[in-house]
Amino acid sequence: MSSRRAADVVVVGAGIVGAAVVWRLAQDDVQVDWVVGGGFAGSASAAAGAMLAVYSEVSAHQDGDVRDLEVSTRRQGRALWDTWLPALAEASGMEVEVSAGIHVVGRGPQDGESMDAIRDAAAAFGGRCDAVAPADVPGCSPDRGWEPHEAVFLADEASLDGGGLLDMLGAANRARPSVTVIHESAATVDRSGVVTTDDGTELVAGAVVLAAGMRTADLLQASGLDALVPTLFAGRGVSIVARSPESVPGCIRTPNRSFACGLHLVPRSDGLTYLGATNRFTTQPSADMGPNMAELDDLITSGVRELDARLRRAEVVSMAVGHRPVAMDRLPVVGRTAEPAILLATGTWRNGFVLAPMVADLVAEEISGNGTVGKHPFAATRSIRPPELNEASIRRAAEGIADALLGGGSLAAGRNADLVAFLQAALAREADVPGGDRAVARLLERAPMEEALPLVFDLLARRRR
Amino acid sequence: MTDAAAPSDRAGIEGRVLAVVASITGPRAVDTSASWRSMGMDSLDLLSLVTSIEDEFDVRIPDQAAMRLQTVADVVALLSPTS
Repeated sequence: MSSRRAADVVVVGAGIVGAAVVWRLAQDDVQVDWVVGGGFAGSASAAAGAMLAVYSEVSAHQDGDVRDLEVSTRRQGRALWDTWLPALAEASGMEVEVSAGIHVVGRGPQDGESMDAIRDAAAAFGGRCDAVAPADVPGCSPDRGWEPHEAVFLADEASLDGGGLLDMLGAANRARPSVTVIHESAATVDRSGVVTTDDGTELVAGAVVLAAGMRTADLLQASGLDALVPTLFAGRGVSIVARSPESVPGCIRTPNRSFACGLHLVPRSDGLTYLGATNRFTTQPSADMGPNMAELDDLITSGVRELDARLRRAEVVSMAVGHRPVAMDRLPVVGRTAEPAILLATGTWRNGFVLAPMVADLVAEEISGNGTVGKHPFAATRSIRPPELNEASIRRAAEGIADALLGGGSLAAGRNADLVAFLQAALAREADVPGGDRAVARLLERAPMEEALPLVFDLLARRRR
Repeated sequence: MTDAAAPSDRAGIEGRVLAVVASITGPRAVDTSASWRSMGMDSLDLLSLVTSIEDEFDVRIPDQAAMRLQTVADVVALLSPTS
């Protein structure tokens, strides 16, 4: 049975970015059909820690211009939340507890480089970044021998209950008469922006905003329009919510780590604690595949020993898997595509929660025709250059894989460096040799990124076993 | 190609596909209509499968077509000459 509905804009996506775009458009009294069928299970929002992180997301070795762009963008998003949250609370009649400030704890040389990069970024932007004695970080109670070597407190950052925020944003949107929630899933979209849902309803509007994370690419592919979206990959992440006898008083995190858990503990409402998250790069995600044993092992082992050993007695309340959408240049993908009726709002990688209001502003400006109109670095039509795999990135990958293999342990005296050197040589050879393993060549052709190198290791290990 | 594949061709193709699958999963009974996931295969295993099938049958399977392959039966159908 088919029917037609008309609105000004159709927004597809139930996660934080889709919900934020709907809310922002509703402020301009735009008539919105909000397509939420299927919810956001498997999307990044489902498993997110919801940190409003600005500086603590900075990694060592980032290009300076890219770092500045990312930090200034996150600063904008962070500042917007300060006005959005009270407005959302009023519109929804709900509250979300915000935990002010984030403690970052680091141990080992890789973290040390990232901690320096975080301090540098905060200094460059005038952000507050105070050194804290590792033993004084509230709630940080690592296992013996796993104490952090250094810690800082970033007062400008914050964390909140991501699930609570999504509920509040949903309620605020539903309370707007200009917003109609469509509980079906989007099956296809055509060039003129007409969305057809699973039950055959045609949603006709002047514009459609696809804010469905990784699924944005699937939807366009199902519609024969995959050329409109840059290649997107996913950082698959697993997180756990637990009831701990001693709930964490504020957000504690490590810096981001290559190919391993960048750990964070975030207080949730009702005395619950969120522990996240793994990060496994994938070119072809299975969104409905639950956490596997290795992912849970990584997360629990590292979280318990590095952040809070008392968590080992915590009752697991829920687990979630999410897929962080990422383009090859790791920047968001926002705005009009080559088909003017179709706009994208995805590619927010690790930063979906903090960036959502900023992305929503960009989309709203393009739809109303005001403002910068696509003149921002995240334009969906930009040409995205695949990053170069070079000696330094291969070296970092080798270090990350070696750390993961060692699991915090150590090889025979003096051999850790040998393992890194060997892995570096093997990866460089595999990345370089056209006549080498064809599955590896195919993987790196699809995703010529540092993030794909651990998959090269896995692939070769499996094929030779 | 105008002729539908003779059943024996299909059986031969299926046998070779199953041998490639076994080289990845180890020997085991395989339901040809079972999903890769139910067989414990992930996206990296699929990448190995596709390139090994390409080598075994001397064909090229583009990414788009590869992503549509859900089962052994799908692979056999792709490789079988049809009308």
